[in-house]
Amino acid sequence: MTDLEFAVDVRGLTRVFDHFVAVDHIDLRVRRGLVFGFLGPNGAGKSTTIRMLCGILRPTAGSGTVGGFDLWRESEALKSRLGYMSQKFSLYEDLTVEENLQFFAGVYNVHGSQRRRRIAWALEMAGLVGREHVLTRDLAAGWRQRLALGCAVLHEPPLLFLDEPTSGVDPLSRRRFWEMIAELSDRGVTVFVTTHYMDEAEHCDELALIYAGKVVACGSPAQLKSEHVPHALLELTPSPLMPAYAALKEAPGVLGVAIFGDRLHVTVADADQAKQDLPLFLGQRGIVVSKVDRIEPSLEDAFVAIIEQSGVQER
Amino acid sequence: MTASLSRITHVVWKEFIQLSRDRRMFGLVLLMPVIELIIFGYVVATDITNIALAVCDYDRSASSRNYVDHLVHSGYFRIAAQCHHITEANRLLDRGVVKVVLTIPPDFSEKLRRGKTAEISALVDGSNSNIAMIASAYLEQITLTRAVQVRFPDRGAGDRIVVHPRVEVEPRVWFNPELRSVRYMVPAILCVVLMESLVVLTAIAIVREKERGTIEQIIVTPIRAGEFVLGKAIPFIVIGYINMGAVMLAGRYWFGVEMAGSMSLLLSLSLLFIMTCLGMGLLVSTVSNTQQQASMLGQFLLLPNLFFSGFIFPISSMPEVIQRLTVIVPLKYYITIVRGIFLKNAGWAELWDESLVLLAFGVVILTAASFVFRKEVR
Repeated sequence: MTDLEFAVDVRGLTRVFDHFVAVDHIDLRVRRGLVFGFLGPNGAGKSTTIRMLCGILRPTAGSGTVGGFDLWRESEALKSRLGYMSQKFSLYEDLTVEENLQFFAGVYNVHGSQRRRRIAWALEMAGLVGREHVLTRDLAAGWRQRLALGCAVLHEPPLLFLDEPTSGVDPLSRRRFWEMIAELSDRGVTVFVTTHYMDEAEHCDELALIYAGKVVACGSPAQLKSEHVPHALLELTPSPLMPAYAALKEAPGVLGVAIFGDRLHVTVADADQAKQDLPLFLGQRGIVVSKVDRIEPSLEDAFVAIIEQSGVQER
Repeated sequence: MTASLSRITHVVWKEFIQLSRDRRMFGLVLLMPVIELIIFGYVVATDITNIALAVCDYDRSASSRNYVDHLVHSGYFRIAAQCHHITEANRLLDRGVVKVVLTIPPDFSEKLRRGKTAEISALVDGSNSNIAMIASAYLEQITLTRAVQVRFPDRGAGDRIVVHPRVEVEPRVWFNPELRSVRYMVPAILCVVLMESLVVLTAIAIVREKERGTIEQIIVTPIRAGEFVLGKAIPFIVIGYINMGAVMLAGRYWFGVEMAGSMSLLLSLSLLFIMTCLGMGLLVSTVSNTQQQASMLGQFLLLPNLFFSGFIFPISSMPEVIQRLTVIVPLKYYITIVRGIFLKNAGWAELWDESLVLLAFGVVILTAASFVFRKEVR
């Protein structure tokens, strides 16, 4: 896999469940060594896709390679080369931390001194040293996720699939988890991670957005934002808020207004012009504007714009 | 090969740890067979003893008293009433005080003395057909040894006229001389216990992985479906054998039932049945999504096996259509094998045909199950 350009390279991947098209002819290319984010709302087809790539679920149609192995013919050979962490916690809750690690090392054929080294490493990385004999069901969600990641990479796979790894975990544990992902990535592991958290998507080198079973956009977070949000965004802090919101909808050069807490996000055609005009426009109506800033559109802004442009219907 | 063996070992190890953590389940699994043996040993016991008897002795001779004593000494009958007239005895039968009315005619001793067949008449309460059958069978059995003919008048369920030859017959019941049903039940319970632990427990153990989602993690590892299933099944095979041992010990020391045949033959032929059971457990696990479903379905599969295997009801007393249907009941063959080894010290020469049928069952069911299972996990 070392001379492989794409860790994942599939075309036309499709899965139909009883006439429901969960994943609809998607093409994915994941460059080796990157952290690849697979972003989309719940039910968009993220888990179905990742499960097809891991060989858990047979695709209805599609072709390509994962880790250099053919999707159809070589899924068994692929298994010793990939790590997978499912959305639902899937270690044995009635085994201890150490027993889970020993078990998965065993089924991944990691033996002897290599096993001792890997288990020690996993315990260290997950911060579970000293908790080896705790039953897994007694661990808090954050620890469990880290243990699950540890178990998934005991055999040092070059390719790692993580399905919503941080759902239901506190923010501190989420940050810690992403540090672990970064560490693995630094070691050359290709990480394919699904999420519906926009802030997590910002950590990824590349993103694919999936919506209603279709991939609607691909690219780095910066690319997605610049390509799909062509207009500038201003953030205003007006007082009072609601009359300003109503007035701005009618203002010249304003394309859209949205409320963010006590502030307004205003989409405009020309940022510099609007920065001068809008406070005056509001001032004439007795509204005081204490602050105007040009802001970078967030991924969320980009995602909304992409979905609107794609014309794909919600299902 | 060694990698494969190592993976299986890891699954077995993991399974034993999980079993030992679930204390309540563990205790149940190990205690259940012995409890079942005791329940079946006593409750389903088809021996009937102390059948209440009313005797109407018109002969009142030494030989008639001798005959009645003989009945009582068998342990199956007790004299509940000595009547002077048949109507009095019949009233007792109608009221349910006695189950059998025995009438000895006045010429009983005379006929015997002259070397003729003496006749006695027995009225049997047929309201419980089981007891009636057994009581009349006992009566005939005991009477056979004497030149006495029992006539069952046309009344109740046990109506039959049995004409015995004049010559003295000495019946011998082989293999189970005391006709104790416990002797018959112990080997059968052995079979049922093995089947229960294998079908239901294996199915539950596999479905639990589905229910908790742990199977997802297993599927992405290099372990093969066959290795995984074998690893999950081995602990239950071990438990099945332990349970068999427990039933045998309890049978030996509680009921005094000892095995006549070869232990190694029993254990090796059991492997054939184990294949069938694993196949069934696997099939159950593929169609179930929850442990409850697996448990229900497993029991549902067990029931016809219990009914149509001759475990409780003898196959020979079933309607002919049903008798023919029992051909497809695997437990039937295994019970025949185990009873054969247990009671008759049967060997390969007697059991090869049942063994081959079991082998065929095992191969077919296990192959089908593995096929369905492999398809299902993908």
